[in-house]
Amino acid sequence: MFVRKKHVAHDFELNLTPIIDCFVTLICFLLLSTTYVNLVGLDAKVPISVPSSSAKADTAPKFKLELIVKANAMELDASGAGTASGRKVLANIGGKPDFAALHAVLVKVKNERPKEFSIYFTSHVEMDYEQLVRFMDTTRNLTAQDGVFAITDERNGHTVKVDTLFPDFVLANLAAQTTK
Amino acid sequence: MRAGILGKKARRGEPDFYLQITSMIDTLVIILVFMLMTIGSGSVNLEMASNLKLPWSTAGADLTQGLKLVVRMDGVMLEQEAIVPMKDGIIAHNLTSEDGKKVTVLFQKMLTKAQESRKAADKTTLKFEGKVLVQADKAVPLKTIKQILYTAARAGYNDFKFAVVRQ
Repeated sequence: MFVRKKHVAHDFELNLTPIIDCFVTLICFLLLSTTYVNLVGLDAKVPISVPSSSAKADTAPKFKLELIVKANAMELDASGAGTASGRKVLANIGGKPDFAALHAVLVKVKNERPKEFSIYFTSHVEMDYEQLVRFMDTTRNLTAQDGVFAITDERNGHTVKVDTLFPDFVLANLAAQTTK
Repeated sequence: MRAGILGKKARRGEPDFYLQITSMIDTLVIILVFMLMTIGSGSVNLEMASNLKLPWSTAGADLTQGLKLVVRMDGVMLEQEAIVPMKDGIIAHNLTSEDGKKVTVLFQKMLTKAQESRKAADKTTLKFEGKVLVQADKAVPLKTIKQILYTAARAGYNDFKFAVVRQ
């Protein structure tokens, strides 16, 4: 036989004061400890000589893109890049490198060889680190006006959209001296 | 019951005042979650060195783990230890070798770090990748950057990541 318990109604109020205290303390702590500078990393490599691969490179035509910064101009030397192959000289404008022209030429090279991602950088002139980062930016970034580049992944046959120009920035000729 | 109390209060002419805590708690929870997510998104806890102005960049990927190298205008620091003094971003010639290309003290320190990392990697399944996370002041000359990279490369570190501030 079941005995029905008498339902007793309790007045229950959740005490929210300590919870709000905790929240406010946490938010104050997070606000004070958060840094609002968004730090990111730009990749750079140095060339490593591998004798066996060097021997192979002599027999087969290979893509190589080299950017050389000189006192009055930049030179972009592309080999194995189809119609975009060859050496292009981009004169400085107002004593400063013409980054827009450099970007336009790089887009043409990318159009020919979308699967390539490396660029070798050599500077014969002294510059500050900020300008080096500017070169890295220019050789890396693609804009919406540059069009869409796509490559086919050989492993699975899928088409992959490429959203960077030449992100593998290789600092070549590290041992060379620069001049002012 | 409440209506009764309210009714009594209303009859007595006292003002009814209830603080709306629900919406305030909602707001606090949203702010808290947002801030926790913002803090937890970074893969590397990189402390900004003092007296350092990083360059701006429009591109860049997330920072990864690596040997932390700070290049300021007054010196080079490896893992928060001052290694090489500099004046206006220039390393004195007597601190270098190989015709000014290699920074001697930095090379010795980095070589030791590389050997330690290789030994530690041998004990695990991990591989020594030779990654360096470079925080350099934007005014440091390219010549100094090249000296430091050359030195690092000679010590076995070939993969560099330059820390920049995203615009």
